[in-house]
Amino acid sequence: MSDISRPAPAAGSTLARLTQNNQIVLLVTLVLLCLVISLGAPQFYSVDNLIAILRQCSLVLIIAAGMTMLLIAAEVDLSVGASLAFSGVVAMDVTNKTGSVALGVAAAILFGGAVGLFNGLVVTRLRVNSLIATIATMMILQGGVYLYSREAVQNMHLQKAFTDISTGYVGPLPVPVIIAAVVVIIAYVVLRHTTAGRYIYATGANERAARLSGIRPERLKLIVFVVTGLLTGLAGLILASLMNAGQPTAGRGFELTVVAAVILGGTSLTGGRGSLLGTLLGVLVLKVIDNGIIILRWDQDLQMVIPGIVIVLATYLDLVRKKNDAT
Amino acid sequence: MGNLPVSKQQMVEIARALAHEARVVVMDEPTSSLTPAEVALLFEVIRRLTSIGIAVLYVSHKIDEIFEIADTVTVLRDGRHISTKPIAEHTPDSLIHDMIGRRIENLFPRERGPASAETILKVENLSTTDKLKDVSFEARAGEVLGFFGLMGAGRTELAKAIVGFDPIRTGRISIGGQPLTPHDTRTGKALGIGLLTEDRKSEGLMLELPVLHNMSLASLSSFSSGGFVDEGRERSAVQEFIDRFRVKTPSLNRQIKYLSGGNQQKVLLARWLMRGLKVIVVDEPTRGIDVGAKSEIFALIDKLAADGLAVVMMTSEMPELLGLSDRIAVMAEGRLTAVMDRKDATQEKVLNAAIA
Repeated sequence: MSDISRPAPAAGSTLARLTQNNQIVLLVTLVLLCLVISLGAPQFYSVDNLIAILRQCSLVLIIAAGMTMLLIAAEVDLSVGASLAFSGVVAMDVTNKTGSVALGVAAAILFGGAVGLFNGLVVTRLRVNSLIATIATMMILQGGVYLYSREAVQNMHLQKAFTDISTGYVGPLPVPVIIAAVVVIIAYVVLRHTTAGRYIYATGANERAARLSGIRPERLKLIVFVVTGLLTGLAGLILASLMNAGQPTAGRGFELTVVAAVILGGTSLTGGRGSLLGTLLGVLVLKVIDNGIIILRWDQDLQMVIPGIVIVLATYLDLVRKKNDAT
Repeated sequence: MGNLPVSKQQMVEIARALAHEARVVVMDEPTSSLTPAEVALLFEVIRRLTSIGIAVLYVSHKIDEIFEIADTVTVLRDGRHISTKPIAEHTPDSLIHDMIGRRIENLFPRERGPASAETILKVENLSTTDKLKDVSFEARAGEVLGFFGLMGAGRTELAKAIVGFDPIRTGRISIGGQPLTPHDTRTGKALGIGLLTEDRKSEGLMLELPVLHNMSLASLSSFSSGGFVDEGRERSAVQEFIDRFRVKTPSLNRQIKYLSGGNQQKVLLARWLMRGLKVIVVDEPTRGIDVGAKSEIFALIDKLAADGLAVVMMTSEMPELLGLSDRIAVMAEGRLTAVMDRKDATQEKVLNAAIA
């Protein structure tokens, strides 16, 4: 017992401080953003607007949870945007044809999972670099979705359950927000408190060391690719429900938003470093900026420009912090 | 240039320095990857340089080299200047004293008793596609089996093959009577064999992660139930090894990259010992470690054998080989060329077998 209740200061660790620092910076940024935006547009604080922000976060968050794990394992998946659109098309089409929402849901999630499995196999078996492999998958899916359906698959089944996936509420909270919260909490627990989570960090930090310690990095990575795929399928389903159509052109550039949010959250592209809490804050910051641009009636093109600048700044600050820590 | 052996690359570097009319040539650990013959050649070149009036600043942690080549020796410790003296005023003991700030009575203390007769590791007719040819040997509980060989003799390849890290072409490996099949590190870990790598940075350490996570990596499953890590138990087990091995770290959460080489090595050794092994393979266990920490690592290795592990030690350091081993195996070009008892071994015998 005495070992467990060791002096508390030991817990004020460098690593914890480092990641917390990053998260504190993000939190402060978030608060400042909210203040500035609300000065220009007081309706920012309305319940409707806050719920709208959360709803917009949810799609990104669901996929970002998987992407965080992938980046920590030193891999990346750039096919999530294309897979998102395709899964949405599949969800709507299968529900149209079978009249069953359950089958549509299952089809979308399984389709996403299959894409993840394909990515994982190409990366771990054929040993193609994941950046290249998943860009290839993205191209295959973007072309493939047109072979599957020339135009948007409209809602012909008119099932209420299908539209409820995105527009329904549980209490005051929209369903997608609840789904995202569940996903984020599970992913957080896995990364923080399970052996699998530790092995994901170990694999990203030093794959050879992990293997020497009896871990199977390839299998682990394959699983994380599949998980990311399943989550993408889930997000695709929600998107189709939201748009009330399976839209082949949806999700263009979505992969960049996701990766940007994860990196903004302090997860390292080189693997072994990162946290889900950071990702959560990263997504919030990006989406609050989005929202601010809209309600302040700024030029919508700034929705791309400003996040770009924010990411450069955040990465630079992270570098500076690491340097200071080293000395 | 990249195709030249290291020794030739060094000669080119030296020639380049001379071409720029260097008056002072600085060499930093120049012999770390040279064979004895190449070292002799390098020293010959150094003597010629000094004879034509060029100063050579020779940085090394190898004591015998310093006595062979230096005129004046300056000792630095923890970034501070400790002493500068003509070499004639030093004995190996006084030099070590300056280097670590205390005296080491015996670099190779032997506390353990004789090895048991029980064979733990059995390797039969092991070959790999690129290096090893028909290697067979056994290691017993409680012994240190030292493997010597020149650069490229296949020691590291052997170490990686017998723990399941590198694939093998033919042959059988068994640990405690159980065959290592399938041939992977997961099976190896389950059977109780682990490797302390020679290349800490690229195969051992997770530099950005804390000491805690680095140490518990191989034994995490024993601190978890249902896939959840019990961090309290993990911490207390890690703390126990930190105390026992006297690892100098301000906290368990310190990123391991800030620890010294010796302390990093202790953490990696503990990574395996926490799990409980039957066989530990240590590859160049004291590479890049200062003399003080070296003596501690030697004592730990002795202790491991005393606890009944079979220790398979790959080394290119003759004193280490002769000082620690119960039996000595010598490799040359991927083959095993001699196995001898420590009491029958001499430096000449070992070197002859290594060159054969």
